[in-house]
Amino acid sequence: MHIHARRRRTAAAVLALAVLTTGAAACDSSATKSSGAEGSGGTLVFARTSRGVTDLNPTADELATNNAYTLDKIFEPLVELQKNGDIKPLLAKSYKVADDGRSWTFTLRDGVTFSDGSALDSADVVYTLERHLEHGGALPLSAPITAVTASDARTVVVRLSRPYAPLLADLATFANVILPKDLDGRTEKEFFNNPVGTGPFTLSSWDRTTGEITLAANKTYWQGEPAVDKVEFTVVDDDNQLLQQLQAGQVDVIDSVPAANVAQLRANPDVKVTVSDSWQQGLLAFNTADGAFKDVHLRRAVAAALDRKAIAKATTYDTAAPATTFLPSSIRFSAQDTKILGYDPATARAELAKSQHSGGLSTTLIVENSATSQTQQAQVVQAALAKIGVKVKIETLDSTTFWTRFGKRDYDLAVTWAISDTGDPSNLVNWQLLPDAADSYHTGYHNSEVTKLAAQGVAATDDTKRAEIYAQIQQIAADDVPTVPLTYIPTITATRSDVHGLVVLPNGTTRLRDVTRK
Amino acid sequence: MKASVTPLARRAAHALLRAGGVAAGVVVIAFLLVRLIPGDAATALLGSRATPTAVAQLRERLGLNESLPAQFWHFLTRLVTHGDTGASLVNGVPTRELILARLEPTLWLVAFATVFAVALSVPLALWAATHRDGLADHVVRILTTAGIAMPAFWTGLLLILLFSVRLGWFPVGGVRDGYPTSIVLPALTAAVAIVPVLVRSLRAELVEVLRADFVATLRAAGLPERRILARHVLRNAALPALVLVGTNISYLLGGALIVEKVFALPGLGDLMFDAIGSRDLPVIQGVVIYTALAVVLVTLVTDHLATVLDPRLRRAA
Repeated sequence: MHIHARRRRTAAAVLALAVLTTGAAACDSSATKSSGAEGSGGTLVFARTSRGVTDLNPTADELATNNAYTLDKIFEPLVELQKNGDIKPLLAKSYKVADDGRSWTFTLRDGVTFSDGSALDSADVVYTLERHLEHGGALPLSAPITAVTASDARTVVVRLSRPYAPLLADLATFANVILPKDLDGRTEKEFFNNPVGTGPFTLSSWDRTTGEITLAANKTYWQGEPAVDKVEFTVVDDDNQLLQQLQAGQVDVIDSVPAANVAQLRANPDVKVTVSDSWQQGLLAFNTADGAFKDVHLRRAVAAALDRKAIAKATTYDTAAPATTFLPSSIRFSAQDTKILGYDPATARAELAKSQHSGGLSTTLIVENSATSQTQQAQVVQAALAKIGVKVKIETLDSTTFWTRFGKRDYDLAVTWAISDTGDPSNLVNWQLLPDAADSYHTGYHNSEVTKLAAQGVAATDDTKRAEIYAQIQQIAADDVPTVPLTYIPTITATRSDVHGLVVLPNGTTRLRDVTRK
Repeated sequence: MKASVTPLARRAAHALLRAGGVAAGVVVIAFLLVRLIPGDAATALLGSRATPTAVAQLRERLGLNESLPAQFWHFLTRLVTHGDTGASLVNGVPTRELILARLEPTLWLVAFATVFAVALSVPLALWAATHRDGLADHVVRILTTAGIAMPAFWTGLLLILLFSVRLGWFPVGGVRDGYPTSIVLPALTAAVAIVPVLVRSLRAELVEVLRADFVATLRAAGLPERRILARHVLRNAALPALVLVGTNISYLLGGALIVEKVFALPGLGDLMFDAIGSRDLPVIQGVVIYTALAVVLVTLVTDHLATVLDPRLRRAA
């Protein structure tokens, strides 16, 4: 009898426990409410997609967006990118380029200190640039630098073997942030586990197992202590979670809002949506070296068969602009008047007739499964090409498989995206049209005229001259069609409505030093 | 007493041997299967920057250029000597450390889901069994069919919309609010997935016991129905239920992968998901091997427990 009674009690206890914990949890719901603490500057919870932070070394081998866009809050470059794409002095208060374009003199700002209190001087800058030249990393310093010298404690001179126009744009990237000389005598590993920079934030805590990282306001920051006390970077790699967590006030900022959800968020008064120009584009790439699309007329036929306006409208919910040239309009010298092969079925059929596949053909298109807009674009392309007799089979691949095949040029057509590292056109020209960097973005495209013009474009120091050269390159690319630029993709950020002063830059990163709550 | 211990020990030894065989199989399969997925960690890490030169450099650094037998040898020796499958190719943290750090949300999830599942299934099954072919039975049948038809990501979404977004009782996801607050909705989602199976099996079990001769005898003796149910029927149906729950805990471990993704819980499932995405071989192998071992262990324990609890099973052996 005793046993029976006990067993019943156990069962009751289990049930009670379940009910109690549920109830207790419900009472605890205040914790889910906004993280902004009153009185102080509060905490900003920033949710990002993809992986957590794995490394804070600016010259690491892998270019992981979340690494780059965390370390750029801790460290600062000599010159800084602005929202409109301009470059302004930051740690350097001024710079001067010699008449022959072969030496740049940077004068450092006074009163800048690292977060450990030591002052910034020219030795730190020389060390940093030399270290980058030696290490290379994911974003190597490709300027033809022959020497970096300190003429005094506040002056740094960078000498070049030939004029190099994009130098400032290069120096403004996260890969050229200034580190203390000799990493304060610590090893690389020690230093980047506990970094010291001149930036508005310092490392507070970092969980390597999840990649979640918390930054604290740098109390001695030379432009004044940031208003928020802490920034917590968390990883939420699920669109639905991102949106709901923001709407429930669990997180304060999300930086990759799916286009399909912009309208829903805009309708929520607790949330603010910002659509900013970026250097990113969606594109259709051709394998121009092997297979059917070696034929330029076939590529031109495809370009003319695609209605980019309709594609932008249908697949990005009107958030992205239809693309024209491969240089997004936010990139310097983007020539939006380039004569592109716009949507014109007659031209498409005429070009197809000129090609070796006048009777049409069957081909395959690869696309990543991670972004809905891309898979939708693949379907629109499929439907459009069917109309001119090109039968397309779509292969939807997981991200890594996609990049493996795209990187090996194991494809015919690919719907994908690209982003420039700088606002200077040389970056995308180098990446998309020259064989040396990435096999012309894995299209296998090669045109010696472009290679010649690209070298001139980098060496020319006069803006009018550069604009002319890049206009020529854009026209050649529009005629040869190694890729069909489809959309200029904006960065869509959403914050709680009490978050102010967030700056979204065209490379996709955010500036948090002026962020306030309320 | 003595006579029953020896067969029990023999049974246990047999079970252990079988478990060992399964574990060895899992180790080999875990090693080979992950290498069948196209692409490797180097391309995964480089993504759009995967130029041939960069990939080659990174492959070299990550040790992906070794031959398959050499890789297997390193993997095996490390597993035996360190009980670990190596450091993550993505963040350099040893897999064992990663697993330990990610264990907490998964354990909470499985524990709470088990409690919820039992708390929901037992009354439902009892209700259905005692009203066999009546209205209650049909209602329960419809409910469980609906439960089976609802995929976890859909159930989770509905729960989030109601309890997190609308009512604000629970967080939308993550574990930032601590336990058990953060785990209630995920556990409920995971429980909903297994409750139908539990209810149906339990109901069948109960119906059978209710038909048994001893129940008729008890009824004839004039015992109140409630007392017959609580003291005799449930007791007799408890054992098969225990085995069922044990099997379903294993199933829950598998289902945790989806539930953790839906609720952004940084647990083992999430770790596994990311590791597959980035072709992080040591981590995939580690999670597969340790999870498989855990499942084998749970099965062993429930089997053993059943034998200990039910003398008939001992005699049968």
